Amino acid sequence: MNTMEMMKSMSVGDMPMDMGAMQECMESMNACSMAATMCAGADMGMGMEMAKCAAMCSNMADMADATMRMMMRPAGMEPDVMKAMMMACMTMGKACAAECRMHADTDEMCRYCAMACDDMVMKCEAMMATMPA
Amino acid sequence: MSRTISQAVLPIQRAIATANPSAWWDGLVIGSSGAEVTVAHLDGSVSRLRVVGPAVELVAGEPVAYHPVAEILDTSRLATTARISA
Repeated sequence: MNTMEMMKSMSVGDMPMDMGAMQECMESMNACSMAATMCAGADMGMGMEMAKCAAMCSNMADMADATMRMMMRPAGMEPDVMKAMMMACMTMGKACAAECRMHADTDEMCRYCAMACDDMVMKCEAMMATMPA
Repeated sequence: MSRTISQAVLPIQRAIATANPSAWWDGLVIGSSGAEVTVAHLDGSVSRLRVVGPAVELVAGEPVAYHPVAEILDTSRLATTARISA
């Protein structure tokens, strides 16, 4: 059973969702969380020069993980809470990508972390477009 | 400061690709010249890729998969790093 089949088997409460968009969003959040965790871990060995990047990537990973976990519990999904969480995650994603992009020319970890953040923001925007106002 | 290791597929690339399997684009090679590869995807779009990882010889008609976030070009022989050409 893939993620979408699992999601379809669960009650989505009062909130109609595009399950395809939600699966893409969840996968992108998962990738973002993993990339940010790995980037933060590598940053930690680089001293104070990369301390801000490490902290922002750690925050990014935690937020993406928490938002993805909320999506995995559709029965308890409150539209206003979900939208606020996604907005916060997108804002963090833009900030983390901007920080990582400053090092992307010399650091492949930051390059891929920024790309994973960008993709997550794009998928969140696509999913939010399918949600009722 | 430099952690640039562009000659291989990095663990972070593999992690991104594994965590986000829906992002893979399947396609067929329609042209290859040096490090440049042109791929026609199953949705009708065409991508021009520049291989920056280990070189791979590709011939027209060969099936490949490309992950645009992880920048992995997966062929029948090996996975390498490739970036979308501007």
